[in-house]
Amino acid sequence: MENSQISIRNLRKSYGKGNNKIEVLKGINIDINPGQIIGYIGPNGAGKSTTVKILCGILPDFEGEVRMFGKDLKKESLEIKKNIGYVPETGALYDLLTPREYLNFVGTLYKINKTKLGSRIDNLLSFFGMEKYSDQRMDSFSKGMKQKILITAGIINNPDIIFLDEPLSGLDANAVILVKDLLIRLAKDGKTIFYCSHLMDIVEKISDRIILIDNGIVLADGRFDELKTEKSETLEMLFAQLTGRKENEISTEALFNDLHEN
Amino acid sequence: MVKVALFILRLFKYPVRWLGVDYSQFEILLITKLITDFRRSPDSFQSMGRKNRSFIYQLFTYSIFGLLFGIASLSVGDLAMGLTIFFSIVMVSLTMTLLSEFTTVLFDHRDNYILLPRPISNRTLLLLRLAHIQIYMGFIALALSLPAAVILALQNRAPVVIIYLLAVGLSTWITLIFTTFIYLLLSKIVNGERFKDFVTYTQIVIAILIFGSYQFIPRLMETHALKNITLSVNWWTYFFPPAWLAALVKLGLLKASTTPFLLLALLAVCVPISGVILLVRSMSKGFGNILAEGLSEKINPGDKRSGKSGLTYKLSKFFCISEIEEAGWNFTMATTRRDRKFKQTVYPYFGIMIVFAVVVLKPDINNLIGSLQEKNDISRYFFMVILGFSGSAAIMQLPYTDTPEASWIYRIIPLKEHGYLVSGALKAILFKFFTPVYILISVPLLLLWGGSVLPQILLSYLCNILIILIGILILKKELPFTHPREMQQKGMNSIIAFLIMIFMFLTAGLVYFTSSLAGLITILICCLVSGLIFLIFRHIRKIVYPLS
Repeated sequence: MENSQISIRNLRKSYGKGNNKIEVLKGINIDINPGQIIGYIGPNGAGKSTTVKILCGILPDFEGEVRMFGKDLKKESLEIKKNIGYVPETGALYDLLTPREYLNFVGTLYKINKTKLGSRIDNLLSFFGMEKYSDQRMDSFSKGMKQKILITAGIINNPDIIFLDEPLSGLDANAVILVKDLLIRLAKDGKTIFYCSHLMDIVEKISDRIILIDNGIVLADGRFDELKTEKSETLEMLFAQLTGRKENEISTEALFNDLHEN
Repeated sequence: MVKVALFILRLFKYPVRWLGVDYSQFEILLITKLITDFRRSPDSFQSMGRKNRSFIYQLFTYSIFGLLFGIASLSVGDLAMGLTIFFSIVMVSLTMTLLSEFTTVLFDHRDNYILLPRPISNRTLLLLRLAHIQIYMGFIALALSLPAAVILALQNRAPVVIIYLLAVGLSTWITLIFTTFIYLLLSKIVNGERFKDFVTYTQIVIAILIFGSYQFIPRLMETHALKNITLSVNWWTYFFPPAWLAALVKLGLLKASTTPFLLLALLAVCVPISGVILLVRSMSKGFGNILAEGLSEKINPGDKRSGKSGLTYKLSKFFCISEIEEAGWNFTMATTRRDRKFKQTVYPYFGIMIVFAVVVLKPDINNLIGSLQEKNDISRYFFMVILGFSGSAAIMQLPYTDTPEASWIYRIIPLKEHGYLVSGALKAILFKFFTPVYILISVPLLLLWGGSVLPQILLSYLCNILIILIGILILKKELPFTHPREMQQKGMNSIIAFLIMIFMFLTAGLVYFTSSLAGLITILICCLVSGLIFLIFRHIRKIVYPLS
């Protein structure tokens, strides 16, 4: 589509060479318009994180075409990166810095005006209830506290597209509500949210559109109320139906038999 | 140090921008890197993962070598030749240090998730890594060169030291740029995993060369023939960077006004500048690809040696006395086979043993076999005993891992006999890293010195195991693969290594003594040592290991 904010055409990615070559993405085609919350789901090893890494410019080597804001990712990745945010699954931050130092570091990389950056850091830390920890080193922080800083760093540049890979990992219930509300508000503000998660109930509640991938191909793409059937009233049930939950149930039976033998 | 680095950095603001590097990003990135280096340990700074004390100790060692090399080189009659020799040593040392210690920093992909999604160009990232390494290489180069600077100032005029220090700075840049250039060229030829293997094995070879060079270079420097040679400029001199730097210093003394020397001095300045331009402007994309490769999921073809059909699994049934001990054996076998850093630390010791062999046996190159056959003194037996070095090196690495958080498993399993896991792991290490070396070297020893030395070989083998086990009893009680590598206490290891050396000397004496006794008595002593080994293993199985 011509007006898409993100346009992915025949995206392929493989790891290894020769006999060890494994194709992780086998030709993904997606178009995303501004202001949508995309729930990008799939079983472990389906290719979700690889897709996100490619879209964020972390993995530059891929086949196919990716365009964001009309720009080719392979040719203009720096320009694209100025306008995207990324919240990784792992605690990827320099935890020997304080939150303020780290956010100042990230903000400087985006060339945010120093005065504006200072007040933005204060506001973001305050939003997450982290202002009292702002000058403490993060190596003693809990996983949830670090996750709050990662989310803050992911939106500090006011990006138009935000990629989130399991952003709620380690967050307490209050923080989960806060982040959910934040994502909905950001989408209303015209931002595109690309949200990867295994937490089906949250994805179901906040997503405008669900994209389900497995084995490197898109299995389902649409609004949840369009995708659901009589047999799959919840996203979890739909996920199980499309990604082979039945086979697992047989193996669960076998597992229990084995456990009872001991 | 951050402020000093920042001051120097700002002097290069415009050239850095001209290279196509975003200066404001470059500055904040470098400052952040330096701050995190300083904060890595609460009471001391860590330089790129190493403790402050060990870095200062390393600098001190370099300055001692720098003094020795400086005195020897600058006593050569021709100053240009002396400086060429000196800069050769400095550059070889820097290259070795760069390859063995800083390669992982150059291609460090641990902060990829922080940096790669941001709008930072490959040029900025490459120059950041080069500058970060240059700061630490600069310290090493200074430690190596300052003693010679004093000698030079005393021999000549003090201002020449400024030119000399400039040459030292250029030597680090030439080394860094040349090595990075080779790496980037290589990365275009071989794929990611092969490239990592290549880097690992290069580092192993370099570690051996460093050890060897520190053993042999001081001996070489004593050669009187070097004292009277002069530097004559030939076509190949223009391809020899130490000669460029020597010419630059001589130019500073106003003693080198001939065209060849002027050309050499010009090369000393132009090559590093054009090198950095070439690297940053034309090759940084390749660097970005290497960084991204670090994030690519590893595709392992599957290890045919693992699983219940593997040979080592079958051997565990033979060597271990319980299923828990077998578990320790199999776990250690699998981990040491796949852990790149374990190999990187332990494998150099195999090469170091060869260097030791040459140092101890001092063979005559012109009559190698004959001179070795004639050896019939204690050095022959000392050589047999030091073969155990590889075993003790591997044992010392046993508690360390990159994933210490996985050690929760020890705390959660309802197991009392952790000692069995340790004894299984020790047996695996002895079987894998010690016994094969012994068997391999015993064959030429038997061919050289005849079958009569077989009891001595057997005795030194058993004594080595005994020494290693005594070392284990002295060491802090730690379960296999439970502590982070950064926690490795180098000081403690030095004490243990020293004690092991003393035990080795004593053992060599014992083995030498038995050579004068009947073979049967030696076999009896072997039985006695075997009994001690058996008892120590039994004790190790009963030790209660701390699980914190």
